[in-house]
Amino acid sequence: MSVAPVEVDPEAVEETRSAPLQDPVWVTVVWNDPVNLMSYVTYVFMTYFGYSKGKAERLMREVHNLGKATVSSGGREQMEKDVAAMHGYGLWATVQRQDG
Amino acid sequence: MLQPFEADRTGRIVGVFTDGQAGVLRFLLTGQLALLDEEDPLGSDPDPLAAALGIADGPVKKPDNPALARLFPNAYEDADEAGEFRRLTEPDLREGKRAAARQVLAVLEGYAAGDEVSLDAEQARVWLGAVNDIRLVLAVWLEIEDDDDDPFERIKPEDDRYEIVAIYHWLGALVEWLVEALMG
Repeated sequence: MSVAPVEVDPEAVEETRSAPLQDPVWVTVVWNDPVNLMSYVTYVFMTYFGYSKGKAERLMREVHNLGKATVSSGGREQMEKDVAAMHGYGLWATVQRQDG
Repeated sequence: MLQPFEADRTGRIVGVFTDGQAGVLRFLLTGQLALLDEEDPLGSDPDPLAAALGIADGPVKKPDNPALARLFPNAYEDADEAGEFRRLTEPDLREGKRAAARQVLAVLEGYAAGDEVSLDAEQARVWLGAVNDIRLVLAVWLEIEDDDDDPFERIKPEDDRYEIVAIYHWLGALVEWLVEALMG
């Protein structure tokens, strides 16, 4: 599958859901599956989380290569909302404690 | 013949199906809607008052049908937490997936070969979700379990599921085209 070149440094656009100052205790983990296409997973991360293409692709590759990736962190309620949204898109996601 | 969905100059996403392709999609969408009614304590027509108040309880147990279990996976490792999450979220998730399948089916019901399907971005997102969900279900039937699995190598022409493999790949192309058109 061809992947468009990354125009921006993903590290430079660490915007988004990284929670405020208090310790984020909960995370949304997306797990690899053999069905969802790499382009679709990237699209979901960009569309739902508002991540840049660079960041979305980096997370997608992490899921693909390592079997899973933490895609958001914060309060438990927000993580449950994120996981339900991922299930809505057909991605396999779980809520976990950050250290767990 | 496979013809891609593409964004036109006005930003609408357009595509054309053959009669066969439209028929296959209608068949799959109808099947998807039937699947989404299985193992649903609320049924496809939930009590509107309970739904409005957000007190319509979903199931606690993971569905027995593996295709439904794939669409609605456990959100927690812990069984009690997974059950509680499921009770609160599964009704809305089911309804969202039903609504998407119905919306696509409605477009295809009056479809004649060669008609142009013309979608705005929001409609294209709905189509993308509905088509992707069908792919997930077909993959369960085809027992696709790891990244390197090529069902065309494993499933032989005499297998009843052989034609499903071609459809699975076609839906994959449809997903790619819609993603590409949406992301420009």
